[in-house]
Amino acid sequence: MTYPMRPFELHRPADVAEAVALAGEYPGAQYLAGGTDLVVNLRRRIAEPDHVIALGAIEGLGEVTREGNALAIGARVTMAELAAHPEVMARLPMLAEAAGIVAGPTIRGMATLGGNLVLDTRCRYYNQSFFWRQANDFCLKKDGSVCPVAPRGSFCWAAFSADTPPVLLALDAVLELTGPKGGRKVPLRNFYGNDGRWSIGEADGGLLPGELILRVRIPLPQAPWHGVYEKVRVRGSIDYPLAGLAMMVRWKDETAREIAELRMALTALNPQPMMVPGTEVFSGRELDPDAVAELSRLAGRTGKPMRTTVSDPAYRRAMIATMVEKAAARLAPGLGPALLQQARWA
Amino acid sequence: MKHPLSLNLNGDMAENLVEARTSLLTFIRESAGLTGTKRGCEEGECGGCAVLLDGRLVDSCLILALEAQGKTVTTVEGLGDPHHLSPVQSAFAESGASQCGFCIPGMLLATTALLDREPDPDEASIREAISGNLCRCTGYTRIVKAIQLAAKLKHDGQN
Repeated sequence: MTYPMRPFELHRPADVAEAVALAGEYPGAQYLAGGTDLVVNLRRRIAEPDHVIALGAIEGLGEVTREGNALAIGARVTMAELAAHPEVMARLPMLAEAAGIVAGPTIRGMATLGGNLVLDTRCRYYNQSFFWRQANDFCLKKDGSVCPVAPRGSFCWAAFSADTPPVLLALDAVLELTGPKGGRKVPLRNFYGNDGRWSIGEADGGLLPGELILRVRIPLPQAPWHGVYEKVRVRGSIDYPLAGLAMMVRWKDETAREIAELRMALTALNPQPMMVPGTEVFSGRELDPDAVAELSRLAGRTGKPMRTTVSDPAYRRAMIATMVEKAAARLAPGLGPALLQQARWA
Repeated sequence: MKHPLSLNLNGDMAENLVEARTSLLTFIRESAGLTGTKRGCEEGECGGCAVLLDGRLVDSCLILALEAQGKTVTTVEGLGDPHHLSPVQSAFAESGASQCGFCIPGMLLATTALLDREPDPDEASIREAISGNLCRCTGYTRIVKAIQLAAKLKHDGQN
């Protein structure tokens, strides 16, 4: 059952300065870019702002530019543009890959990089109509006081489910923000909060009130390196990830599969996208089946799937190791057959 | 509070006063009276409401109508009429691609957008291009065949 959205006032500023001034003037206002997340939440009355600041009339913020040894990507660049941009495909193919499998084609043509970075966290008890949520006595994240996923706790487990942030974490991206109190630069690794409510300002992560993402600056890793993104979802299109993994490796010796540096980041398993800690020790090692098994265990300690999706958390947990194996097999030439020989089910 | 909105809908100017919370889909169906664009899931899953906004395939349920101010919107009614079907519409009719028909307007627009950027798509590109449009009759095989025929008809029409 769909209720109409709660009425709000729509502002269409002509530039960033005006947008930020409006956000300062109307606390609690929400920015609207692609709309693929916010409009659904407005309709479900998960988001109930009095003021919406639409960014559609603002020029700029849609460029991809090379700046020295980094790529700067405007927050307005859509997932479809990111996936097909020659510079992104050539320099950061793992980012193009992740953007190219977000949702389906209609959504990718609308959804922006800025919006993907601040996608609201998701849960089976939260992303429902007002009618559904009311019948379930609401939840901790919105309108209620108890988390149906972990009723005795005071923590929100809603999962952060965007595809590009784990890739950008692994690549050590920096966000350029502006807001009513001025601009700042934040390493993405310090951006997210631990509680599923970070994105609505009740916890310590995310944007400050009225802040807006302008650009994402990504340092280009030293060659030779490769990165991939693995995504598990119910259908091959449209769906949010049940689990996602970005893995990148810089090679000391590519043909011998000798690692200089390996990084992994997870999404859709925790309330924030997570770097997997402890991969430094793989520097100098060969990426062989033993290393893959250790990496799987490391990733498994970081990902904490809860009952936030209709799919069983045990399945999502099992998929962590599978994603690590698939990613490693794609990264290291010749590793796939070796992994199959030692497969856990063999 | 209502605001004036005017946009180019299938070549004609469509104007009305709309609330900020009105979606482009609601404007198309209830103000302009064009009901070919379908209200399905209203959350960007089904593609039933897909239209072309300045030539780009989008879900009209996820766009606030006022955000389309001054833009060009093409719905299924803008592709052709019963006496002058577009090549894409002819191909769907000839192939028997439509079962219940609910998803077909979105499929036709997804196909139109695909053939505009890729006149000779392979089957993988076709399946990818309609992967944001759900057919609950699950009649995808004939839809894919129709899109292959549409590419051919469009190609022949140009020669």
